Formats: sequence, C-alpha cells, structure tokens
Amino acid sequence: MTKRITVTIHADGTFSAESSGQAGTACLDDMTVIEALCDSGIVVGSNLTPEYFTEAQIVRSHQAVSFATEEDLSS
Amino acid sequence: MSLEVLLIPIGLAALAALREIRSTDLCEKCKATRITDQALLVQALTGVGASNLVEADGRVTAESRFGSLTFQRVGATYLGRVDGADAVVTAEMLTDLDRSVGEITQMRSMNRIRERATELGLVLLSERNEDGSIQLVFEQAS
Repeated sequence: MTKRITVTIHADGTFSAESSGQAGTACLDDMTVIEALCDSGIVVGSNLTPEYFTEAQIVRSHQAVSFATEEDLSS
Repeated sequence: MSLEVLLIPIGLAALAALREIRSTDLCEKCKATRITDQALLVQALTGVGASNLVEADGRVTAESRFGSLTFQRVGATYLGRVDGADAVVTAEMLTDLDRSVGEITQMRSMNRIRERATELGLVLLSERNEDGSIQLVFEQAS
C-alpha cells in the first residue's frame, strides 16, 4: 500500500491529520512525518484508529500461521 | 486510517490555557479569546472591519461597529470587551472576531502545509472544500 497523509483544516483554524497505508505499528513512524508537515501547529492529541487494531490483528494472525508452519517443518 | 493527530495552530491557545485565563479578573468585563499572538489579533480585527487600531505591548484598542474595543493580554491569552457594553454585545463581537481568526489561521495553515509538503517530497493528490473545512490528501512520492 502507498503511504498517504490526509490533513483536514477546519473553519475554526484547528486541523487534524491522519495517516494510512502502513500496516500495524509501522504507522507510528508517520507521526514524525505529520509533525514535520504540520509545523504550523502544536500537537494536542493523537490516537490510533480502529483500523490500526484491525491491521495489527491481521499481522498477528499471519505471524501465528508462520510459526505453525515452522513447527511443522522442524518436527 | 491508522493514526490520527489533532493540532492547534501556533498563535491560538489550547483549552487548558483558556480555562486558566477565564479565572482571572485583570481586565474588567473582558471575556477570554483563544488568541495568543498580537499580530493575529490585529489581523483578525482588520478582517472584521475594525479601524483606528492602537497597539501597545499586550494591549490593543480599536473602533468597530459594536463600539470601542479593548483587548488586554493576560498570561498567554488576550481578553477583550466592547467598552461600556453588556456581556451580550461583547460575546457577539468575540464570536465575529473568532470567525475571522478561524479564516486567517485556516489560510495560513493551508499555505504552510502545502509549502512543507513540497519540501518533504509529498505529492498533493486531492484538495476538497466541504462545510468550510479544507481536506488535503498527500502521498509519499516514490
């Protein structure tokens, strides 16, 4: 997936930024990019969206499958 | 989306600072604004048609359709009032001013974000204006 940053600048002057396209914890690296992009603002909050946890679960379930395969090979 | 970040433009106070300022009483009948930058205050006043602006350090006076205005910096934030008017008139004036502040900071932020995006090698994919909000979508250039 391609990394995307969506910035929404509200009518009251405040703004929010969201990253997408990074699986699981890799998206945490996007914080640095967002801060560099939005240097005209001060970060007052951040949170992981539900999609993060969905992606993290998918990554974990893939890892579980891999482990099972390795055990099968060694036995 | 995986990560969401909320930001306040430089020149505006965070909510915590506003709560603090509301408890002060150094400017009689003044109400808190979210403005921390005097240049932004002056620009916003000009934006709502105020005239005869007089600036001193931490203090701005002006004439407006509401009457004479006084703004005083208390702590990090500016407080303001319509001189001799009741709280309702001051509240109307501050609502008007806040709208102007929003328009100015929105344009400032948009221009700065576009500038930074170019510097960071991000490509603008789309720009959408909806209900007064501007949405910019960037993609990392490969």
